[in-house]
Amino acid sequence: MNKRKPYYIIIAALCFASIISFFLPYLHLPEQEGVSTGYKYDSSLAALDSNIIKDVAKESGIAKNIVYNTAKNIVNGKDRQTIESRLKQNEYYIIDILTQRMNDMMEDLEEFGDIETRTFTYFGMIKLSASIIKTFRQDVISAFLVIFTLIMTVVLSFVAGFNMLFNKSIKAYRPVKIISLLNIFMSLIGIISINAISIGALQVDKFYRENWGNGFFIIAAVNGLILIIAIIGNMHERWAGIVTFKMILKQKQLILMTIPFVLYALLFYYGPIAGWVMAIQNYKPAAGTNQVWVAWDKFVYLLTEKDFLMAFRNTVAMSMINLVLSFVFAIGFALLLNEVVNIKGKKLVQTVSYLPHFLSWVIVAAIVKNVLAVDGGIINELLVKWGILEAPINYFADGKYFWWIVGFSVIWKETGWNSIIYLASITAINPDLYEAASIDGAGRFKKMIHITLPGIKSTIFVLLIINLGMIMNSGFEAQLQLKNDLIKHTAEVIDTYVLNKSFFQGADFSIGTAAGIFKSVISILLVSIANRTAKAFDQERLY
Amino acid sequence: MSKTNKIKKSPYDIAFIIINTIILTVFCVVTLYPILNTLAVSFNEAVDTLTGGIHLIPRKWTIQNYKTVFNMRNLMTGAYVSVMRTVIATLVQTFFTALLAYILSRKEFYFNRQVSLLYVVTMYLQAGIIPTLLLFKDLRLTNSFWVYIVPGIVYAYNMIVIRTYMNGLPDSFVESAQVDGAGHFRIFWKIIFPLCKPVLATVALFIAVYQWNSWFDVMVYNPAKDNLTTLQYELMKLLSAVSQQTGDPNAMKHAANMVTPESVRAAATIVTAFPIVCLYPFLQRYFVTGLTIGGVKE
Repeated sequence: MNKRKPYYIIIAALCFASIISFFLPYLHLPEQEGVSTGYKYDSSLAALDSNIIKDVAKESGIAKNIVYNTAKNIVNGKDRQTIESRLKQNEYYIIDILTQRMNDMMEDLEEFGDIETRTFTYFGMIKLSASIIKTFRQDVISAFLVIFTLIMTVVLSFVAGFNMLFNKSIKAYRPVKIISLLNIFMSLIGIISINAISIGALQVDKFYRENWGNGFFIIAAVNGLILIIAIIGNMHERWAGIVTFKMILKQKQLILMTIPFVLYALLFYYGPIAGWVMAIQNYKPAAGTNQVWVAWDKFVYLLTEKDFLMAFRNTVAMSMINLVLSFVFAIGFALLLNEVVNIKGKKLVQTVSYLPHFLSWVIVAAIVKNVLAVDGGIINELLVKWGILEAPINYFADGKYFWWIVGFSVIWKETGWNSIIYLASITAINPDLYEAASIDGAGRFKKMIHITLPGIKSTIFVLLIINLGMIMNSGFEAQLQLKNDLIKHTAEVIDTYVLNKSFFQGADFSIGTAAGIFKSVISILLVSIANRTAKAFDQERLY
Repeated sequence: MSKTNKIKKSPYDIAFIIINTIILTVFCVVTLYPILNTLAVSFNEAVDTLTGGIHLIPRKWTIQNYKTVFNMRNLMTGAYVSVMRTVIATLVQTFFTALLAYILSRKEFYFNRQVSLLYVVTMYLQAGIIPTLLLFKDLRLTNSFWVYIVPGIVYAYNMIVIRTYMNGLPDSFVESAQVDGAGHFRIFWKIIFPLCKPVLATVALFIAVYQWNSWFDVMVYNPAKDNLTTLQYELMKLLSAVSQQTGDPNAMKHAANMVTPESVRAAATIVTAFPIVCLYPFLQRYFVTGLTIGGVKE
């Protein structure tokens, strides 16, 4: 991984762009009324956007916007007098010309509107696009470019692939490299074209989306696939040129053993990702494959909904609290435990400290509730006895306590467990350092602060970065068990929000999925930033 | 350490040791008190518990609470399923995780980087609850016992822990076996697998704890199946039923029968926690090694 090609970044960016373009055709929301049987096709609007207006404006010498407005009025079925009132007397004749031409056009277009003729096979799409391009002025070049680059990238990928497999010498890597670069260039053009068409489609929304919607989808998907192949081919030299068919045969045993694992990962870990498509649908389980597409609707809803934003805030806040508390406590505990001289005592404390880690959150939540109970809870009892409180508090009735309740529950459960790793790295510190410090007259406390703590600095740093990357995962089991409706505004986290939306209120799977994607994407970003940071500070990379 | 002890302790050091001991004692008390309190409540007579003031020692001993718990049909089904899934999953998942780790620890394998990447990414990229649920529905895994076993056959983290350990073994084991004509599976099963016992014990413990403690998958995948419930899930239902039972006439009836929900809950909690709490002290050295391998290195 260290010897990355310079164009690796470009491929990554392209891949990202391709994923974006995957969704672009859906960016513009279709109207939702009466959508159950598919989009309603409006040939008159399409005709309005064809070359007719340009042609008529050119022939008659009248300004294009006037012609357009006239045509629009005709389409809208205004009576002749109203239309004429917007024109000069000598321009009246264009009304007839426009009406006639648009009627012809609409007749032609009715064909496309027929569901029978709508075809989504690969070649059917090319044919359809050709006929559409003839009719419309938008993005002719882009449309052709998409088709061209698509075919070329497929051909080139195959050439590269065969070259890799059957050419034994290392020199074979060079043509592969060139082909890959070409491939990238092609894909770039293809993606730009797809985006251009998609944007064009927004202008003639009904007709273009109607006939191209799935087409774009397929083009973008194929393009994305090719890019992924290109990435793998480029990132790993072994694949690009050095691995030969003969070598694969030699390792057939290992490869055969790997295949089930690869299939397993693809099915169980990557398979569900295909379900992310639900987030841009209004998913109804009963509708089967006939879902209504809603583009970014659900995301827009999420980002404007108070409940979700609150859940987001709570997630981040609780993870921050958990992070800080668990670091302070685990490190402190490890340092103090390290100072215990009595081996048996040390062992005992250690064993006790691991105990809560093995209890499930179900049990821990029950214990926390007991400890904090209004009557008979030990915390309230002690606080009242010591005169800190006048009357017992119901900690689960006021939202302001919840974050800290979860924080300290996590501390109670995990401090011992988290300290294991610090204790292990303390044992790696050179004992000579302590001896030298003793000779200099340092006491136990001073040695702890000036030798042990700096000694485990790098461990702390690496773990801190890992955990910062995990900030979107505040855990949800504790919150799910401990929350109640009174304190929902501080207790809800993204995961419980997903559960709530999908299972308890309204059963909206799309919202749940969208919230899940939101969380996943942010946490992946955070993890990769964390990885980069760790690398930049010359620490061991995580994986 | 022995040398430092010889040096005469300064008053500061003595003060430090005293404070340290106090802090750690408090820590242990805080850790243990809630658990011991639950234990005491579970052994105390139910009606007596209601008067409060039970701390560490039961006032009136009884095993009535446990009798009630062991007579609850759902809890016992749950216990059976929990034991089954823990045993089966631990065996199956440890084996397959180790097998994949072996394949990926072979440095000569051309695709180990690609396959590793495929698995490592899964640690960070999770599809979410809903898409997973729908996929499992399509695969007919929901409402079946196998939903506890199959989805976790290989966890990337466990695989990395084992692989790191295997990378530390000398290559000569494998090489000499290969010279003798042994296949990869044979080498794995006869040579590498036995050599990895410590790390396998660690991973098996991780898996067993996870399996024993999991309730969420029951709630999502098998909510309506009474014969596939687990102990933790039943316990959760028992514990979260609190609001319904306080004003419930049934609760009063229970009270008359010397059993209250509170005491039953305490007993059920102890029953659920008991096996794993008994087990972990003996496996302590294993999970310490396991965590150290997986956490800091690589």
